[in-house]
Amino acid sequence: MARDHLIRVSDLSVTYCADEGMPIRAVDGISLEISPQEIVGILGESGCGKSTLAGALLRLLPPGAKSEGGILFRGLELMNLPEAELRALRGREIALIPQDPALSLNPVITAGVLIGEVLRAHLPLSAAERRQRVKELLCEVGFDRPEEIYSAYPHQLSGGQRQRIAIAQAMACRPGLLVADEPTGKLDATLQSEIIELLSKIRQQHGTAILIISHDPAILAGFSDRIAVMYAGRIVEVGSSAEIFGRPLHPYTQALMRIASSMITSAGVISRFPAIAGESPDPGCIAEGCRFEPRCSERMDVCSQRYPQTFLPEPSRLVNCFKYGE
Amino acid sequence: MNYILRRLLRAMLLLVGVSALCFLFTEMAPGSFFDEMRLNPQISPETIAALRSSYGLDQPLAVRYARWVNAALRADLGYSIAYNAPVAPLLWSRAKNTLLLTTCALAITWLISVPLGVWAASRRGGLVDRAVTLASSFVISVPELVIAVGLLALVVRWRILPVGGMMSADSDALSMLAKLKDVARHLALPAFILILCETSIIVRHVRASVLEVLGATYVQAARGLGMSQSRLLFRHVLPVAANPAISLLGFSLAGLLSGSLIVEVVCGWPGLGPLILEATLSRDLYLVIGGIMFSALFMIGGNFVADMMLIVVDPRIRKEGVDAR
Amino acid sequence: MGSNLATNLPANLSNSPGGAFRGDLSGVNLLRVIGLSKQYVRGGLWKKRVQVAAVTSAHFEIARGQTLALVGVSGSGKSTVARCVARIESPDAGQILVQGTDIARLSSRELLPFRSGIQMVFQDAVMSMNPCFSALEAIEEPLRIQRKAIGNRQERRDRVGRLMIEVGLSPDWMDRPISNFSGGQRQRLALARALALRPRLLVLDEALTGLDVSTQAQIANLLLDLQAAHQLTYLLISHDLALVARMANVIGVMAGGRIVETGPAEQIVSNPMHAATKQLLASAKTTAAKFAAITGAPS
Ligand SMILES: Nc1ncnc2c1ncn2[C@@H]1O[C@H](COP(=O)(O)OP(=O)(O)O)[C@@H](O)[C@H]1O
Ligand code: SF4
Ligand SMILES: [Mg+2]
Repeated sequence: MARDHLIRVSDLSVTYCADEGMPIRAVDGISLEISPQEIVGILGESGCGKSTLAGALLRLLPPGAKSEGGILFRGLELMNLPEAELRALRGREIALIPQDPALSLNPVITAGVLIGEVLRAHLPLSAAERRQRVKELLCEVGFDRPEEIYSAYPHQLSGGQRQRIAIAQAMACRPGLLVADEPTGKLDATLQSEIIELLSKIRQQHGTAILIISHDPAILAGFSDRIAVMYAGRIVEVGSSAEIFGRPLHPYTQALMRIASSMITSAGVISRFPAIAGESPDPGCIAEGCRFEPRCSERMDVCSQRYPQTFLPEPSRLVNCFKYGE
Repeated sequence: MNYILRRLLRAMLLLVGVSALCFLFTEMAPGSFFDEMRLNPQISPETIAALRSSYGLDQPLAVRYARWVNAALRADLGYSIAYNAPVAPLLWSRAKNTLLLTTCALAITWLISVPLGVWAASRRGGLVDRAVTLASSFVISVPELVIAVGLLALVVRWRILPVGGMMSADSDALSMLAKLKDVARHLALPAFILILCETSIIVRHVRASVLEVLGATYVQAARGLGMSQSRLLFRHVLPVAANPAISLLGFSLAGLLSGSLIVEVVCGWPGLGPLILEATLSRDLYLVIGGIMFSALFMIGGNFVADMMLIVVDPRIRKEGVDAR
Repeated sequence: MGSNLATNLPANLSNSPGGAFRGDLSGVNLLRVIGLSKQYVRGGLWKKRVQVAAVTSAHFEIARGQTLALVGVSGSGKSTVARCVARIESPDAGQILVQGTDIARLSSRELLPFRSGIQMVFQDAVMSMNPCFSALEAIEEPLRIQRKAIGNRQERRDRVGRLMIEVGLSPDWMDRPISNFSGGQRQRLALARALALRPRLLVLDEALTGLDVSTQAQIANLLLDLQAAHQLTYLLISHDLALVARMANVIGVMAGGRIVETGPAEQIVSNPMHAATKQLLASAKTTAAKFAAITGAPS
């Protein structure tokens, strides 16, 4: 079983040590596996540590961050890999699609060269071959006229086009794993579904596994195979997409799903949205006990005493909530 | 193309503005070249008045300015009362030396500042970074004049370089190569002072702009795709960091010019500096204005060159006026 | 042009394409916009000038206490309408009638008495302010500008405290710098700031965009509660039709600088006429269908 996994994260923690103030444990003991060709969604609200997790997977964290735990990628332990080997891995085996296409492309380099740079970093191609590959990639991500786009600067492109360029960059070397950190977060609803469709197509054609990060269940619906729900630095529930959407177990997931479906199915009648009261806890000072407890409508006495361990109420479903065991 | 035209037009407007201000300020400044003559009982007021009118100084300011502009357009900057010679050739012979000094200093300043700034930024907090930061803040905090005088004193004491002028007295007898070497030795001290002062400022700006770009999201994104550190620095960071640095080039030229005026006077380099100083002290009106116009011309020229370089480097400026697709 | 469009469509449609929808037949419209047009000139003094028609001949009206949502893809002109109504921008043509007074052409001094009646909240509104401001300073700023920050220190703190409670913030945080507030809290701050002047009309330009879904739901509920409590009128700008369909009485769909379809939210959602509306709905529908397929719930 373990041999089948493309990447296996075990008990990963990341702590930001600020100069003043408490160290922030942004990711706290996360374990997760992704199989080849699998699309796994990470669902959680902003500040829960999703981007930190993505950065940790690529071993690309800001200087003040300390990470512990294990990341086994194709049998390789990334946590003690030297920087040079990590660099060869990034973009070649694991590639990142960043959140904001307006900020993630270098403004003084043309789209074609930006994609070519990734090829240049990893593959021994001649300039002509590279150019040819870039054009193929541009077609692949849905541009009809690759020549025009090739020589366009990022500021001449729309948000959706820019995100396609970022995807072409990430796909340039046919990596085994794409890490997409809210790839549609800054786009209009219409463009969002286009980008998701493109990612679906990429998985089908190349068998690329994708870790997609989002705060919006609607993005993951019909796209991801499995979903891990994160809350305040921890994964609180893991299950297949159908299970998480159809029968969420954790009270947080349940509430989130109610909200999400209220936002996409509208009869045009004014009514309040279902909501979760309060805010997620300040990552600097996290209390004992279940982190969702202050906002949970089903809390019990134990909930504030210790953190709920992982329960397996059903095969292949994990949930951290005292409703499912003691 | 439009951009270039606009920049040219702006440069012209600036020149007009500077000249007008020059006229206004020299008018407002107390005293005139003839003050000393007036004290001399042997020169009659009529003679002075005749002299004044012969130089056109009895006319109202506006008329004088209009005449001056009209002449200046034909490369005639008026007449120096003290030297009793046309201003333009006089200035040009000195300006060449200032140009030699400042362009040498400018080139070397940038050749040092850019690699040093990039190096310091790429190893932020490292030994080089801390050394550069400390040394530059020291140099910046000491006035240019003090540095100039201090270095001059050292050079004079140790007799390592010739001081004063731009060639030795016997230079006419030397071969071409030896002559060049002689000029270079004279140039070394004033240029070194200028380079020291200017580098300490530019290196900080280069470091800061490289640091800013290094922290940009797109650089993080490029890291996430496995770019090597050197490729990242030179292909991805430097072209972006070059933009503020090049804008600074014009600015640094201004710094060098104003610095060179002081340094020339201290080191006896026969450039515009000593000439403008003398002319100001003796209120040699047209020479002062001409000198300032020359400096302004250099500065505006430098800024123009910087603007043109920006067009080459930054596509966002190049495309101006064309709509985003 | 609006009439051109109308003639192309069957006359018996209840959604009136391009035309003015009578939001309230009793005639108590708080805001009425007639023929609003705005062009931007790109380029400068010596640059080649390009005229871009951001908004062309927009008509709409909003009854007191009701919400009109303008939806459309980015670049369709929604925000320009919003900025013209809030008179951050001057329209080129058309009337903006606020309780019968046309404010479209008033000078900034003449506008002053109207300013407190119309407040605007946009995406990341608080982010554009000085990050060292405390919540107190941020909320009080519009009062200061209007010279209404009167009273002694305690009275002013009380007033700001009440506003903070109203938008669901703890008054204990009054002295915290605004940079310490989370995304949702910042949007609450922006609302408190807008409410400080007791406006009648709030122009909400993508005020829910860029927030988490759970935060979006909270802020949307807050907006609905505030509207009910204060009889507020909303002009709601968004690219997300499905989201605003639950908050608005009337929806106007914008495309290419024109309002191409206006109608009651129910009708726009159930019976879209214009291609732009259908397209906006389609993406929401596919998501809803995926959601339904996967959860087994009825669509
Ligand atoms: N560079 C950093 N330094 C210190 N704290 C950080 C840094 N980046 C993120 N954090 C903190 O870590 C937590 C998780 O952040 P992040 O991973 O960006 O979450 P998400 O992507 O889910 O929004 C937040 O509380 C955030 O404030
Ligand atoms: S552990 Fe308790 S507080 Fe936490 S989610 Fe479960 S029921 Fe709610
Ligand atoms: Mg994030």
